[in-house]
Amino acid sequence: MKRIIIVDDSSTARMFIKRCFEISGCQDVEFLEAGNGLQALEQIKKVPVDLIVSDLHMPEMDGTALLKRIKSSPRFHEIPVIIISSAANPKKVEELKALLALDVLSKPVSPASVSQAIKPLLQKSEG
Amino acid sequence: MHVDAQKLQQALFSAVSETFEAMIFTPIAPAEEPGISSLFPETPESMAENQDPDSPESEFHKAKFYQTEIRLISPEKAFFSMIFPGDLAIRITKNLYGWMEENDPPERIIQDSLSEIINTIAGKLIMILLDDQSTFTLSLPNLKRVKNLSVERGDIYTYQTVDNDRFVFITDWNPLSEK
Repeated sequence: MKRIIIVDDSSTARMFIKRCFEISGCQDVEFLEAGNGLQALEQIKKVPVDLIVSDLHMPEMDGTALLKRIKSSPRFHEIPVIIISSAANPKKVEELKALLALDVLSKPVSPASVSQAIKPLLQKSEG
Repeated sequence: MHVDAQKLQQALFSAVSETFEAMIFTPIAPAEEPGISSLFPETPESMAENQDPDSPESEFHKAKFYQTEIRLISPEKAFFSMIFPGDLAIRITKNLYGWMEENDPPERIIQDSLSEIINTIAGKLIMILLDDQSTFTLSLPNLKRVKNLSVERGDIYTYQTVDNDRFVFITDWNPLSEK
């Protein structure tokens, strides 16, 4: 079973993102949820995850700070991070990919955009 | 950022309609009868004539609205707001969640849904209007329930769903610089 943590301060956004993953064909996946970057870090210290899907703009710790913490951590740096944001214009996408985000999706996400974003992970696990 | 009125109107309609179709599966169109007063089931004047507005049973008393707000913080200042009649807010939340239960969704879910909707629409709107090489920052959304509607500033855009439910989007660019 794969484990995905969805990080967003909006419970509606978390529900919507989870639904898009399910519709895009993610089977046998356990979804964890966190309301900000700090909560996400606390959770992944206790439970290993295969993918982090995070909003950008959140209180306490935002998505950029979470991404930097993950990618600079010897323990967690290999966990892929997908950023989902309502402010993901080309300049921001470029900045986040330079920080090693796997992909950056604009809100509202769709099953198609989620499917496209996780394709490299599926190919990697099949290979 | 100079915002041409016609370009803003087109950009806003794209942002609102794409968000509603993607998240709520509801097509929308510009309202035939625009303005804040179109949100009332009856005009306030007719309510005042026919009913005691303080009575809990009156249409005026039942006419509660949700007003969501979000601000563009950088690269410049702007204020955006959406106003939904209570009944429409509940229907939007039910559509968004695929709500099958007989009871209405709890208040916190309704408020979170409307906040996420304005956050998504404002982001899409700014992305359409801003050039690709500029980043921008939005505030966290804020929501309040109001009984009496009054819009003191900004431009009002009114939309309607296929069921003829109306809601408004208010834009105010550079609100601080005008003070």
